[in-house]
Amino acid sequence: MSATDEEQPQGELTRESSFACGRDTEPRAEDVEPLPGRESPSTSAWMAKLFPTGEERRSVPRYQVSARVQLTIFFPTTADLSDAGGRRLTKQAFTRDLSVNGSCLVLEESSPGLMLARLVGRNVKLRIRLNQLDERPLNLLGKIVWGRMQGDNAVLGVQFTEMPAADRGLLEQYCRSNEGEMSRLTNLWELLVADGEKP
Amino acid sequence: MSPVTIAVGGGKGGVGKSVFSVLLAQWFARLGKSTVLADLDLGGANLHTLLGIKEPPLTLLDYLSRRVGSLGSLALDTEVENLRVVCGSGEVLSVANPQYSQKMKLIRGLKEIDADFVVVDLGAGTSLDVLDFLLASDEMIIVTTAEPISVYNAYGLLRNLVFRCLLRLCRGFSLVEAAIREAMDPHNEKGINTVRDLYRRLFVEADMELMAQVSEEMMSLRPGVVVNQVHFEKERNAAKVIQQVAERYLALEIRDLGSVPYDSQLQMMVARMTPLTSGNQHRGAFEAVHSIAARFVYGDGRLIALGARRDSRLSSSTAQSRG
Repeated sequence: MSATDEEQPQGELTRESSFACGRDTEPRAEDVEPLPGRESPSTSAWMAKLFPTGEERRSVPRYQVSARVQLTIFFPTTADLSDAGGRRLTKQAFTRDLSVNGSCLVLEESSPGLMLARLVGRNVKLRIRLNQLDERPLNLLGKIVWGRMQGDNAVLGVQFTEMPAADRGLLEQYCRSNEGEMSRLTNLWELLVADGEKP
Repeated sequence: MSPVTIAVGGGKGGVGKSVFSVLLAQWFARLGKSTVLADLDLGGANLHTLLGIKEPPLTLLDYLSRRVGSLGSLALDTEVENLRVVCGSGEVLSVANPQYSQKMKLIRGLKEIDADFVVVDLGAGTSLDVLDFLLASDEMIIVTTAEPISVYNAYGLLRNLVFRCLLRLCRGFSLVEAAIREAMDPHNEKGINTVRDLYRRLFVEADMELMAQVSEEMMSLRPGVVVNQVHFEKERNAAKVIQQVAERYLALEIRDLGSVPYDSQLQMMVARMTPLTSGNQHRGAFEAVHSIAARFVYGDGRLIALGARRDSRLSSSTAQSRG
């Protein structure tokens, strides 16, 4: 910061706050819940955005990692899937977040007519490319536990049902090494921009 | 009534901020709005050349050195009706590196211009001057190309914008300021890895009245992103990349304002110093910027007319410090 910027007028916020540094423990999930009557409506709205319900209560860390996924959804009868002509539906997706317990997936192609209610509860297989070279993609089994539309794109919550220890280790290692803002930017750029038509 | 100020910035040089600013401003003018285009690329002012002005008779220096009384008096007419331009003077060291009081004078001057819109073309990078001009504006537009470096730099600009905004809001709360400064260091020892982590900590430990002000300000920031020089369909997604990461890590809502295609006509005009206002307005980049300008003027939530940031603490702080 330049010396000239130290000269800035103080504005209205000049009193000392009750901020207490040096707290011994990390804030717990309960701590971030707003206290009744203390926050303005805009604070509440912002806090709801900042700390979605449940985000803090997961037993394993969920990483903000984007990986390309081939999602296969299995249906018990063909009647449920008239547009696919079979008992399974395969979609390309990418992970919005990922953990050893599950993932939030965004379907790549727009699916305005997708019947989300029919997808919830279905068994799925995820074939995840962990990197561009992708010598051995991971094949994970799971179940769709929720779904919602975001614009024209379906967003699905998948809970993994079983995973060999070796795959779990690989996934955890991948998640840890790709977490962070810059990795996320790179991940998403590779997924959404780089695979475009080449000059 | 002060004009609606729209600041155009971008993390990386060469992404087309100035060209975009000219096209946006001339479309506002063509849509019947009195518009002033201001060159606040303090270190490298060249906007006038894009309008065919080789040697501007008046520049920012005349305002900062008090030869003219108002920024609006510097505004030169252009060949487009309703469009005037305030030229910079990047070759002058004192203008390229203004003192804080001069910066405030410029911000006040922008808000006193008699016009409907003032489009402010900023320099590249994330200097404090750039950040403060962005924060003082009613609307901010970040221009990027789809190249990864440009995307990284645009994101870096947004990240610094958040920190600058927080520091200004929390001035005087010394311990909060210290926590914010610590979080700015990516290798800090407190494990505050993201702005979201910082908020989590502040919400637990900082004064709630202060956090209410922070909430209000941060929710009103909502910068827009434009992807410029797009060659291929997928490159438009660069805005979505920034949008998703900023939302997740900075808790910042980004508006995807659209994209502008690469336009060989435009490149040729820049290379030959042909005024951009004389280009074929019904094709390529011109047309794309028209649709962005029209969204600002007419519709899509009336982005400007609502003036979401017009009552902003940071935006109005300039008025408080007047005189």
